[in-house]
Amino acid sequence: MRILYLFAAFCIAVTTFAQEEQLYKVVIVDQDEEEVTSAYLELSDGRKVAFPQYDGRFVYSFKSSNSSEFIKVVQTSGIGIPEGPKVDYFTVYPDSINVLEVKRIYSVLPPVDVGSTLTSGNIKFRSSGAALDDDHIRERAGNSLSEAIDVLPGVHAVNTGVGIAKPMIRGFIGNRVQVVDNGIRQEGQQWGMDHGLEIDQFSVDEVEVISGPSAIAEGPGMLTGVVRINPKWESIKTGFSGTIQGLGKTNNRLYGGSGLLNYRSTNQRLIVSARASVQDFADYRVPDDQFIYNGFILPLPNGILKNTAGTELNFKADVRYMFNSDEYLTYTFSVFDQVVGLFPGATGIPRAFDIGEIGDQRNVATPNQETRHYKHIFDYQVSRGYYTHTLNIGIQENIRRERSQPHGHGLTYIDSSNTLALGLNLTSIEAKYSTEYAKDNYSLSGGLNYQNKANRISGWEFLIPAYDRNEFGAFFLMKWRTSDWNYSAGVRLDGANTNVQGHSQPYYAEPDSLVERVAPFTLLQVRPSVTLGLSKQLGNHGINGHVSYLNRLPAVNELASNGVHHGTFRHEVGNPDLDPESGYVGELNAFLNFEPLSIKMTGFGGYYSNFIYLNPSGRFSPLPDAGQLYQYEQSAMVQFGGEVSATYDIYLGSKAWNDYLLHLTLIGEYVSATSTETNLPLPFQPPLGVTFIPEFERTGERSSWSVGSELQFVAAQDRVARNELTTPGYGLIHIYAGYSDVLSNGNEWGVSVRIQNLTNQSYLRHLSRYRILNLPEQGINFILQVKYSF
Amino acid sequence: MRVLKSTLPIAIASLAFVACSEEQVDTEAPEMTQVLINGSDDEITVQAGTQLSIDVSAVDNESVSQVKIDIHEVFDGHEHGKVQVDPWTYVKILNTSGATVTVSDNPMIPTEVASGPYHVVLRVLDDNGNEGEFEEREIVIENGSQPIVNVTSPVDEDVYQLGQTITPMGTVTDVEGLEEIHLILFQIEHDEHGHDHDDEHLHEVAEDEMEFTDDPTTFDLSNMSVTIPATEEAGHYLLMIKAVDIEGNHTIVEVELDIEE
Repeated sequence: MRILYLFAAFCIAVTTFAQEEQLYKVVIVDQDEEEVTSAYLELSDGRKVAFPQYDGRFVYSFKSSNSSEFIKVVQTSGIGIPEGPKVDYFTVYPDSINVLEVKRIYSVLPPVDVGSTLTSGNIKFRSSGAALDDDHIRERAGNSLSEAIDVLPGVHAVNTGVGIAKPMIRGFIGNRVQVVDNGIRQEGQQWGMDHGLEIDQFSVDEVEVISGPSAIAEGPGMLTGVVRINPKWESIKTGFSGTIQGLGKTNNRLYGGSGLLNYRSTNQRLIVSARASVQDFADYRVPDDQFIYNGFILPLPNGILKNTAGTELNFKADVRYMFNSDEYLTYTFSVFDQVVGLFPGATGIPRAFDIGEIGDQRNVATPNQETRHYKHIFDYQVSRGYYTHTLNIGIQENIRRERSQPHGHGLTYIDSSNTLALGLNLTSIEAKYSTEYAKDNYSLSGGLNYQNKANRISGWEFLIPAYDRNEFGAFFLMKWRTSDWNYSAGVRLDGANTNVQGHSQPYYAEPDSLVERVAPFTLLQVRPSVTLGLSKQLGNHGINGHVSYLNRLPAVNELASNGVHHGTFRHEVGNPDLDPESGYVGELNAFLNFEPLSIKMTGFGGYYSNFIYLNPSGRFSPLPDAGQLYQYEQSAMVQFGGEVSATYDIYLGSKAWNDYLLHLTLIGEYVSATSTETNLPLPFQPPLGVTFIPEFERTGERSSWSVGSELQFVAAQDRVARNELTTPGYGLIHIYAGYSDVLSNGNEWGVSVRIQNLTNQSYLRHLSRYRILNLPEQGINFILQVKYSF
Repeated sequence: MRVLKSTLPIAIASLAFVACSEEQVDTEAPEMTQVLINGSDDEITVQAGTQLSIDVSAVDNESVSQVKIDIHEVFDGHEHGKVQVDPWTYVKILNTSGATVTVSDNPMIPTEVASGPYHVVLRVLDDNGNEGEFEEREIVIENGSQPIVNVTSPVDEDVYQLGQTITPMGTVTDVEGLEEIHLILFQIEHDEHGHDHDDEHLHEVAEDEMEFTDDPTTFDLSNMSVTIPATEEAGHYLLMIKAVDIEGNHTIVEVELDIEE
């Protein structure tokens, strides 16, 4: 509670309004000091306040002429559902933030969230409602941020070896899954299956995955799911504070660490924070010493995958200045720098002489990929009366270098020291303004966004052209509540003007030739999207859902690529005639609460009239050593699936603070996506999976510990696209234990161990880029983490 | 809710329709039944300036659409990349149709190509875009000016002990001048599963290399040696002698050895 009091103390300046009306601000937290947003307030005069404003934390605000207010806090299971099962009464006062502690009845995510919340540098999982409770993936220590959230229902990581991974939501990936950091879309080369997410996992305070109406304000093409990364300012102490973390993994002999230093001024106006992280890892090991590729048996000496080592070096700094409690400006700067080697077979046919000699296990030889991402984000917010205005500006530069040996590709006329196969340099500027008017039982918000992207290319290979793209969008979102239901309705209009530069280069090994790979063109597309969401409380239970009509404007790789994409091992050709991808999607969630059993069930489905996908053409690529040409085409597609998550708490005692708790979690998920034109499944769909997580924990006043296990069962994926390999099912066991202790001086230390893939199971992962080569995934891995906070 | 009630059955019915109509989708890949290069289905040696004859037979349940031939060097990456004569690369796509097909191609090997081992990679597609497994054949191209490697010792099936040093006897000659010579010892690892034709792979255990700055036209192989690491296992080994001349021509000679404890 110390943090909360501090927070309350610094919110001194509260504006008073006309005559005797005074502004009240209320924050609701639960017994674990986590914010409760699935609640509403009822005032003594019967008025209801349903929607908290996010202002570093979720603040309910209202005005009243009384010198104090006796309010009713009604916890609900969605956004402000009337007469929820849990009612608490409080007296609140103006001129400071009232922090009200309630006992959480049943925490759920905001409407239609697919995932849950993840927080803290060492990946602490928070259950604002999905299946896992507070500390469950704290020790997950994934190989990347995407892998750390892979356990959430409906969320997967698509990985290229170790260290490179990107998030997938319900079988969608790349252009269809945006990541929004501090209000700004992460802009790298996110279309590439073998491209990772350029965000330091240590630096992430909180991750949530949302879909439906709440996502319409975030940006274009996000209704089916967006990964949102939120900062957490309120937990920073006055004066200097910080955290030092260390991380070690045995499988790829990884060592890493992260240091965070914070400063909050005593007048509470200035907060400065800086973090540096480093990770260095060697080639990783699999539980096999050979693999079979196209009938050839290829060696993996001692199970080592040659040239899969890498290094990551990241830095982030934040400065926030509070002009007063209703107005702030934040500036964030970050650099992400990663170099990861690629298994030599990943850029061509794997050869024994390439992969049989491991050499230095820590070096990164060719082929490799180097990614550097610079990001500047300005975040300004001001609240005036019922209005909240937000302005975000983001400037990003993504520099990507894919390196390999030109002679290995037969390009003997290129000097062997010129290893830059593909250089992609993307700069982007985004500005986003939104305003929200929230009063009583409704809120209205609207906003505008503009983004400029410029892509420049270099290197002796070609995949996508240089281009300039201007995107603009506008949205309007309304939420309101009647006596029985909560509604939200939103509409967006998105446009993109794309100017693609043509590209010609010599045909393969004939330096004097010139072949046009992409013709220049300009394309302007504008399309609307509409969404309607609703929720209802039914006793202890609740339902919510949304139906949406969406349009996604094609990305440049879909419009204009033409080259061998090593991430997919095939020649991909864009199609400038693509229409925006339109579809109708829906989702329904049911929350059932039979204390101590909680169940969340989700069903979703969608029909797309012209889903964009890569279709095998039945013709070969004219490029040497390239296989078939795959062309971007559009056809009707039907997607459906579901997720179930259930938790069951067994207290061994009387539910007191010091009691032992056995916490059981079960997560299941299924998704199916089929092209109705070919009657074939879409490629890269996650197989049916079930995860069971028993965890035993004890939380004391100073120290707490937990031990647990993740038992993961993944079914075979037999529903595959043409030329896609089926993948057999597998079961994995991971175990973990953690201990933390608060010292007498208030500093805290913690240690956790985790054994990933305990049985050293050899398995193929359908969503791994190396699965195409029949390469198994990482074998047994001991992970040790230590942390000290002051 | 009335809208939902009336559209939901339609949605469910349409899903059921999708689920039930998965017949008649051709996902069966074509297959190459025979690949002959100059009439042989084994590794062959051919001369630069001559014509290759490649015959590929393939079958598909519906119709084979294309066969692709890629020829490129496999000089195996040990050399240091200074080449004057370009290795040969060749790409050809042959269109065809029918469930059982035989296609032929007769590429002319240019006279000015580097000597050495090459791979002929063959791929096949059907009309629906189903991809068959590729075939890979090794051919050795000689252009008359490649290094001449004459090894008198060791010879095939010679027996050595672990820890012993192998010093080959013989000469390498080249009229243009030698650039580099590699002596590489591989352990032949047999696979117990015996999958397909390629049930062994090579694991490099020792290497010696010579790089020349004075372009000698002759070299005595006894100046090189490799020591069999005592930590390796007994079994079948392969000693590879690879000579590269200043023009980038490669000659590879292999000797199979038995190594005992």
